[in-house]
Amino acid sequence: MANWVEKLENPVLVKEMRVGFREKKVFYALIAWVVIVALVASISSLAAFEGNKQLDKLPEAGKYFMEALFWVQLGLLAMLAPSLTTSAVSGERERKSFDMLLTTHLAPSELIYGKFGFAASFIILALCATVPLESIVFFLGGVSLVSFLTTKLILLAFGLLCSLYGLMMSARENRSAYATGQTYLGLVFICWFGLMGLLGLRYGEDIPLLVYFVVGLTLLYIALFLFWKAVNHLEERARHLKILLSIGLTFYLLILGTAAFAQYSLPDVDDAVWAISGPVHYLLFGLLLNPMRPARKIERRRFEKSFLSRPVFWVLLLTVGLMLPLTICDNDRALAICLYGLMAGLCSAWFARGLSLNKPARYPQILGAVWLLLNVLPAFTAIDSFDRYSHAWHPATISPITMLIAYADGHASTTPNIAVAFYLGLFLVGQALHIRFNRKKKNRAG
Amino acid sequence: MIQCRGITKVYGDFVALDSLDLEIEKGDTFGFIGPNGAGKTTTMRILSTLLEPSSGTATVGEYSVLEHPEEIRKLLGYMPDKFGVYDGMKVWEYLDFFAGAYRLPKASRPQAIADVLELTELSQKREFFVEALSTGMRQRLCLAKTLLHDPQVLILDEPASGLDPRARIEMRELLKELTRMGKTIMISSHILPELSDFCNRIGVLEAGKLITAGKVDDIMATLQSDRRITVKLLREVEKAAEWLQNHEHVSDLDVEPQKSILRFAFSGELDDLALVSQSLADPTYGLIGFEEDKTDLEDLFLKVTEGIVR
Ligand SMILES: Nc1ncnc2c1ncn2[C@@H]1O[C@H](COP(=O)(O)OP(=O)(O)OP(=O)(O)O)[C@@H](O)[C@H]1O
Ligand SMILES: [Mg+2]
Repeated sequence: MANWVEKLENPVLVKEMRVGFREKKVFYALIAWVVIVALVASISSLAAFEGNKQLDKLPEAGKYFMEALFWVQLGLLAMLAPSLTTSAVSGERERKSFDMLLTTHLAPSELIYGKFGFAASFIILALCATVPLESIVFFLGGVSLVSFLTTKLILLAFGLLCSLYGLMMSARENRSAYATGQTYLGLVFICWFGLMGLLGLRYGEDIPLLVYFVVGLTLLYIALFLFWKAVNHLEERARHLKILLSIGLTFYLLILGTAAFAQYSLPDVDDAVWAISGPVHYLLFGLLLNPMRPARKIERRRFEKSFLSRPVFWVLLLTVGLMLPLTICDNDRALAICLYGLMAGLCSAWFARGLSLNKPARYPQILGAVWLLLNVLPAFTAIDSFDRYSHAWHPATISPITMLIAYADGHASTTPNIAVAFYLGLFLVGQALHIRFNRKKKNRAG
Repeated sequence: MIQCRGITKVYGDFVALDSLDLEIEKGDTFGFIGPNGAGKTTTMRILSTLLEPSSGTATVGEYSVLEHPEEIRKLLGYMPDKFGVYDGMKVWEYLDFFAGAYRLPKASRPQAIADVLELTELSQKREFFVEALSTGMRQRLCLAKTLLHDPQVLILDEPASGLDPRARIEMRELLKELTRMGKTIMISSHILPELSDFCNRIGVLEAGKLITAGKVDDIMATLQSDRRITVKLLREVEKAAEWLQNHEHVSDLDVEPQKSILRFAFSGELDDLALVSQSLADPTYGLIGFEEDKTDLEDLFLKVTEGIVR
C-alpha cells in the first residue's frame, strides 16, 4: 500500500507546490482573481437589481448575475491559466537545470504531469475561491444546482486546456518569451472556435445529451493530445509518438461510432451529422498526416517500424471513416460534403506535409498557413455573389467551410469544378515534394 | 566501464568530435583535459545520453547510449559545467526533490540527504535557501545531488570551476574519497595540477581528437625522453660547465653564473646520471644541490596541445 502511494507521488509536483505556493506572486494572483470577480459581482448585481426590482423578477437577476460571473472568469482564466505553465519547461532550459532533470530517473510524462498538476491545483483553487461569491445566486434563484455545476465544469475544462496548451508550447520552445507569445497568439484563434462552441452550448435550446457527450469526448482528446505532445517535445521518443497516435486513433473511432449510433438510434438527428463530418475530416487529415519523426536516429528507426507512422494507414482509415455515410446516409448533399472533405483535407495536408518534410517541427505552422489561406481568402469572394448558379466555378468553393455553409443554405449540389482542379494541383505539388525528399534521402544514404 | 567507439559529433559542418575512441575501466579516475572548445563537454553530454552522436557508439556499463539511455541514467551521476538552481527552495528541499526524482524510497531519503550533505560539508546550510548559497557552495550542492543515488559512474564537467583554493583542495579530497569508494569517475578540468594528483589515467583532447590517453606516468615517460637536471654549486661553475659540455649524454646546457646554477638535459641511463653526480660531488665544486626537475600536467598539456583555439 505504502509502495503504491509512493509510486503515485510525483517529486516534480511536490517541488512545484512547495516553491509555487511559497511565492508571493502566486498569492497576489489569487487575491487579484477574487477581487476582480467580487468587483464584477457587485457591479453586475447592482445592475441586475436595477432592472428587476420586483420580487418575482429576482430569478432573472440571478441568471444575469451568473452570466456576468461566468464571462469574467472565462476572460480571467484565458489570461491566467496559460501564464501558469508557459515557462514550466522553457524556464528549466533557460535556468540550465533541464539537463540535470533529464538525467534523473523521471519519465518525461511524470515531469509534464507534475508541472500540469501544479497549474491544475491553482486553477481549482481559484475556481473554488469564488464559490462563496457565486452562491448569492442561490438566494436570488433562477439558476439550478446542475447548471451552476455545469458552469463551473466548463470553466475548469477551459482553464485546464489553456494551461495544457501553454505547457505544450513551453516544452516546444527554448525561450519562455517565445512560448508565452506563441501560447497567447494560439489562444486567440482557439478561443474564437471555443467561444462559438460555448455560445452554442450555453444558449442553444434543447441540446441533446449526445452533443454534450461528443463535446466532452473531443475536449478529453484535445487534453490528452496536448499532454502527450508536450511529453514528446520534452524528449522525442518513438514511444511517445505511438501513444500520441494511438490516442488519436481511439478517439477517432469513438467519435465515429457515436455519430453512427446517433444516425441509427435517434430519428431526429438528420444527415447534418455526416455533413459536418466532411469539414471535421478536413481538420483531422491535417493533424494525423503530421510528418512526425523523432530527432534521434535510433528512435526514428523504431518509430518507422510502426504502422501508426505510415501516412497510407491514416489516409485509408480516414477515407473509410468518410465513406461510412455512404451506407447510412440518405442525403446526396451530405455525401457530397463528405467527399469534398476527403479531397480538400487530404490534398492540402499532403501539400503542407511535402513543404515541411525537411523541418517536421514547422508542420503545424505551415499547415495553419495553408488552412488560413484556403478558408479566409475564398470566404471574402463569397460575400458578393455565391449562389446556386455561379457555384460550379466560384472560387469560394475552395474553402470547405464555405461549402458547409452553402450546404446549410441548401445549394451545394453542383460539383465545384474549380476546387477539384485546384486541390488536384495541390496534391500533385505535394507528391512532387515527397518524391524529391525521398530521392535526396536515398542519395545521402548511398 | 565506459567505452567510446568512433564517436563523431557534427554541428552543421563543424566537426566538434572526430571519431573519438576512449576506454575507461571500472574504478578508474579519468582526467579529461584539453583547451577550450576541444569537445570535452560534448563527449560528456554524449555519455550522459543528453546528446546523440552523429555517428559511432558509446557504452556505459554494458548499455549503449543509443539503445538504452534509461539504464545508463540509473548508474550514472552527471554534473554539468553550467547549471542553475531553483529559487525559493531550501537546500534540503532541493536534495529531497532530486532524491524523489532518483526514486529513492521515501524512508531512506533523510539519511541519504544527510550523508551527501556531510560528504560535501554542507550540513550547516541545510535550512538555507539555495539562491543564498555562494557559487562554490552551489557547486558542492550540485555534486551532492549527483551523489544522492549512489551512482557507480560519475561524469563531472569542471566540478572545481569557481572554487577557492581551499575549497578546491577539499573537492580534491572528496573526489579521492569517492575513488576509494570504488566509483568510476570521469572528470574534466582546466586546473591541471589538480588532476595529476588523483587521476590514475588521463586523456588529452584537442580539436575533437584524442591526442593521447593512458596512465599519467606512462604518458609522462613517453613524452619525456630527456630528464632535466638542475645543479647548484658553490664554486668553479665555469669549470663544471666545461666538464659537462663534453659529457656524451648532456645537452642543452644553461649556466647562470651569478646564482651558480647549471641546468641541462640528460639522455643517459640512471647509472650514468649517478656517475655525473659523483663527479660533481668533488670538493672543488662544493655541490649543494642536484635534482631532477618535476614535469607536471601543465607542461605536458603545453607540450602535447598546440593551442588551437576554435
Ligand atoms: N550546440 C552547439 N552548436 C554548435 N556548436 C557547438 C555546440 N555545442 C558545442 N559546439 C562547439 O563544439 C566545440 C566543442 O565544444 P565543447 O563545449 O565540447 O568544448 P569544451 O572542451 O567543453 O570546452 P571548454 O573547455 O571551454 O568547456 C566548440 O568549438 C563549440 O563551439
Ligand atoms: Mg566544457
